Amino acid sequence: MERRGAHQIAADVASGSISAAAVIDEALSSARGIGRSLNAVLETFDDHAMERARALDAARERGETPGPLAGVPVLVKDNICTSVGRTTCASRMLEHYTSPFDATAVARLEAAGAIVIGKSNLDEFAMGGSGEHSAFGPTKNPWDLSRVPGGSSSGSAAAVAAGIVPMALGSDTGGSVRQPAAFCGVVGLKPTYGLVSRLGLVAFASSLDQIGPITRTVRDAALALRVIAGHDPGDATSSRRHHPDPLEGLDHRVHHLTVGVPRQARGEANRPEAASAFDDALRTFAGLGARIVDLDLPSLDAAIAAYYIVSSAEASSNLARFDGLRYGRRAASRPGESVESLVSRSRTEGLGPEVQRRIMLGTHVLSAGYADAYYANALRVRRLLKNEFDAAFASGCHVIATPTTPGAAFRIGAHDRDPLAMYLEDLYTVPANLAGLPAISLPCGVSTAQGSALPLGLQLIAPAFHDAELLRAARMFESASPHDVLRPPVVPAA
Amino acid sequence: MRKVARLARLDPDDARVESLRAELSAVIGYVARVRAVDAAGVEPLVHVSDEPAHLAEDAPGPTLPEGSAAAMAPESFGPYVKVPKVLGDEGGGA
Repeated sequence: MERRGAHQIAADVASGSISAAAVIDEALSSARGIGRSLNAVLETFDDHAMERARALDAARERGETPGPLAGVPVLVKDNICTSVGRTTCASRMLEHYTSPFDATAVARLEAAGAIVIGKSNLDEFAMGGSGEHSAFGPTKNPWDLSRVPGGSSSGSAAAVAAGIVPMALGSDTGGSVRQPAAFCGVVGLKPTYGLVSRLGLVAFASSLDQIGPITRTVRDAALALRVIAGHDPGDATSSRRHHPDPLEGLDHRVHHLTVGVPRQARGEANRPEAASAFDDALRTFAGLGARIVDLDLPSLDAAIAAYYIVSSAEASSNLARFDGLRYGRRAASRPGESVESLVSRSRTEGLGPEVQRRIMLGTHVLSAGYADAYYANALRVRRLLKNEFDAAFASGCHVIATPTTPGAAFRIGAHDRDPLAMYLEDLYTVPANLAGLPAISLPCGVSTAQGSALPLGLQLIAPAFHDAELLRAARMFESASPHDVLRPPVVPAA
Repeated sequence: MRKVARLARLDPDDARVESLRAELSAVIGYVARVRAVDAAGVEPLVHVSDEPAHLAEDAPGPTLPEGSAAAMAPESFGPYVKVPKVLGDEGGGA
């Protein structure tokens, strides 16, 4: 049962060939075992999940039609609110925080029959690209326990790769779904900005954040998107636009597929393993009859700089709410202490070093005398970047391809003393967030250049609201690639 | 660094101020490249959505149950969030 996909589980539960209770029992046991040894799972909802599974089985026996995700065990990144258990954002600040409501994406999954079995680890407040910046310890990569699984949706990607669940929710502000998916050899989808409600996603950078699924196959990504996408009056940025069903026609090839390749995607940033996997991926597309065209997107060179300014500026504002008064951790008050001092001490005690660094950066770039030079210029670069993407798509590209990351998963601790080096790893993923475009990471190879077998990801980016077509192009690649279902060689014993 | 920390409502100790200075100098030095991009006359893009903003209907809707907001606070008193004295001799700084 371990490697069964979400669509297969749902079909089997619906037909009665397996009970939801058996599926959930096994997933919970795996989450408590492998999930804890990878430090991918922060909390399991044993009673809640088993109760829901039994209720679902009983309803089926009464003749009720189960939903499209009947009995599918799901892990939810712990910056997405669940009314069951805690929502910690992997921060001491919210260590004991419980949400009074479910995020819309969670509520929609559960309404479709999925069963949330627990919460997955992450970089604190989703800030980080390695999974190391959690107040509850780093997540480990199931391919090599000495390496990072990527982040910030570290636990969601590691858990799907390890076979604990076939589907997990992550959030993607600058690559936080796609980069860990690439490092763990699974599929990660960042939908178009506005397609999936952000209600109940603890805000990091509101103009960039988007919830997305991590799965082992493109079909399961499409299934998850079909369930969680769609307008939500509770999120003012949620789109009202009609969007096609991503499952319909998923196996139909994109006619005369044209794949654009920015010159930077073949640039010197790539380590040899990423460069060769990317070349192989383009050959796979060419073998499918796709036309490969070179693109010039000059603003990509400034994308990381623009991203770290915009995201940190928005984070410094969003995280101002964590004042130790209304939510979360409050420092022990001292007699006669001002509120300002108590707030500052509560934040300094409760927020981790990476979060404090981003808040400081964001505060600096927004401060008087710097806001125009940094923040406004970053937003101008963002406009140029979006215009360049629009022009590339208008010229006939269906998708734009890049490696998801410039190399395979690095060792835990490799960038401890150099945050900038860590930020530069995000060069391929941040542009889609700045421009609001849908993007997916697919397994495209395994490198043994560094001793252990490590997966690599191919990223495809599509025009806004062309998520269904993006998934079709991804499905074409998956069906032609020998890397469609990767399995980590090392899954530690429970 | 101290001024930015105060604006950010953070209170790093001296050693942390020094490490932040080194880390942030490198990052700020890097992100300064946005200033070199020829973007004169380009309208800043704050938000990607091109859909018109919809105002919510001015009508009562569901709210969180009474007391649930206070339950999220580290200190509460009945349905109220308890905070240190804000006005008066000792407070007022926040």
